[in-house]
Amino acid sequence: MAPGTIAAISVFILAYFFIISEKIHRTKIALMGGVVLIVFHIITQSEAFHFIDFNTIGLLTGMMLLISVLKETGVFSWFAITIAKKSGGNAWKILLWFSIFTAIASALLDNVTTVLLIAPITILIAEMLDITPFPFLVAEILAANIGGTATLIGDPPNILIGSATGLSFLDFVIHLGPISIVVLVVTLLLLKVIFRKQLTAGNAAIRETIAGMDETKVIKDPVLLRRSLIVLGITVAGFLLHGWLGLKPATIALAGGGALLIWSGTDIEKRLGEVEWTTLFFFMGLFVLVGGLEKTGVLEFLAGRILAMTSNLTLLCLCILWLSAIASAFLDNIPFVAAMIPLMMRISAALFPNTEGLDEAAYQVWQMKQAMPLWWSLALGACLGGNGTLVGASANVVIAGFSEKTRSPLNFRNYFRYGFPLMILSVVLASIYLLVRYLLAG
Amino acid sequence: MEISKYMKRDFRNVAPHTPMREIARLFFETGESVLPVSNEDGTLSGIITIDDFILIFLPDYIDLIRSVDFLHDFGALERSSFSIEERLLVAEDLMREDITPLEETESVMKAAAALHKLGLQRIPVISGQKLVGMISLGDVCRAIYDMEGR
Repeated sequence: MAPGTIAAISVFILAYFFIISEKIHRTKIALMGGVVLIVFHIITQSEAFHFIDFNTIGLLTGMMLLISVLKETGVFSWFAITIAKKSGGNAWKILLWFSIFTAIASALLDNVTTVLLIAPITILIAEMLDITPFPFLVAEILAANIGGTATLIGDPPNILIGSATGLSFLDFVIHLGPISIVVLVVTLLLLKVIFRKQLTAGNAAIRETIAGMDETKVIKDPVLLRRSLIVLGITVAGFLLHGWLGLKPATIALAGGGALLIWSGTDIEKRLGEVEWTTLFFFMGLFVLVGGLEKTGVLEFLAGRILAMTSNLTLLCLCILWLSAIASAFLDNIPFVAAMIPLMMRISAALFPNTEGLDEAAYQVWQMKQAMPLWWSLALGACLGGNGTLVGASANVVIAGFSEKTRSPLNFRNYFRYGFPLMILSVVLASIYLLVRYLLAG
Repeated sequence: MEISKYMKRDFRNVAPHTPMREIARLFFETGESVLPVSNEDGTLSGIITIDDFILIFLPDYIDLIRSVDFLHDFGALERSSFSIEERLLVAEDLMREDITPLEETESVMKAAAALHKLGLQRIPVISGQKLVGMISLGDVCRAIYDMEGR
């Protein structure tokens, strides 16, 4: 091996080791790792910039801007209070509809923002009902990650996969939507059984307390709300049509974010201040790190070894699904998926060679369609796996933080008891889905 | 304008082991929002603000909610939040020790600025290590027009 190759692999492994150990913030490591590759001439600076996937960065930025305005409107609280009132103080109904709302919001926005806005209201309402918030918070973690699985913009692994493969928003909805709905329904039904003792119907006093809440008070600026919802609606429509429009998802997101910045008349400094720069810089550093690894040829080597063991698509899909699920349950799924993508690109290219003599663009589209089950396996494993433990996804960590302020805080052990078996069940369901829909049919 | 001229030397203070119930009564009776905590030898130990006191009886996660406008009442919380455990706290459990007291020889202008920065209504004044008075925003107003004290 060339010294450059060894150095690149060493930097990559060292950086991933530090990211996984979580002793130093992941963004610092990713940035420094990327810079080290350039400093030691393993890659050039222009190569480094070339590796950064600005479609992912643009998509994240656009959505962050849109959400930063949307969350000011109080619309999340409005939905939560309305749901609670309609439920008439019945705890199971509240858990059910809060979870469904969380899942839908996580599919269209990002999971962390969704739970940041919904969890405080959930805790308050649970306490008002004199029920421990624990079942509600567990349900919301599960729902956020399951909802996020369903769309291209729902969860960072999907954003990465969508950007790398060119699979469209609609592809994600059509292929991952059905299984996400099945997993959500099964999970919620099981939660109803598991927490049946805590989820009581509520008495007259509770109904009165809940009915006394006034959801109209949380909407401070109806004009801003209307504008935000219109822009969000058009943006989602844009995502559904982006393949047909010939536009990348990042363009849609930035158009939506940009339009709302102007139309809402909001303070630009404040909005840009709310963009999660740590996340954006983490992605940038990570792209450079993975790019350095790609350049060494080690991924070709690994892909070759994997294909030498098996070129059976079914077996590969199931291995990727379960490996990503277990890995994502305990580790950060973003660096995992970022490294898996170029590896899978090579496996896909080897499995589906250009035998028809198609031109490059047509071949890429054809290859991605053929390799779809592989990509759905990765997406399902990485997203659903996040439900396995309390550290499996960012939304889990946020909810755990909030729960510290309640009478029954979530910790690794008490969450694991519910989260891990339910995650395993969801991956079993995903395996069956992949087998029935893609693998056995052919 | 020296603080010593305008501060109040007649003030109520509590000891580190004064129970919550007594502190509550003092807040209610004096209408003050800050009480000094002093030791037996007269040295200043810290201050208790009425905000810190009230916060103990509000659920922690109230900070997570942007506004309470939409609430009518707190339901089950109204019965549970004033728990026995919290009622048994004493002054030193909730006092702030990180506030730098003012010296009686310092200027009233400094007192005004310090109160503004801290967002407090009044603050202890010391001489040497001993607590000798309290200066409030009201006292600062009096100093501005150099009015007669009560």
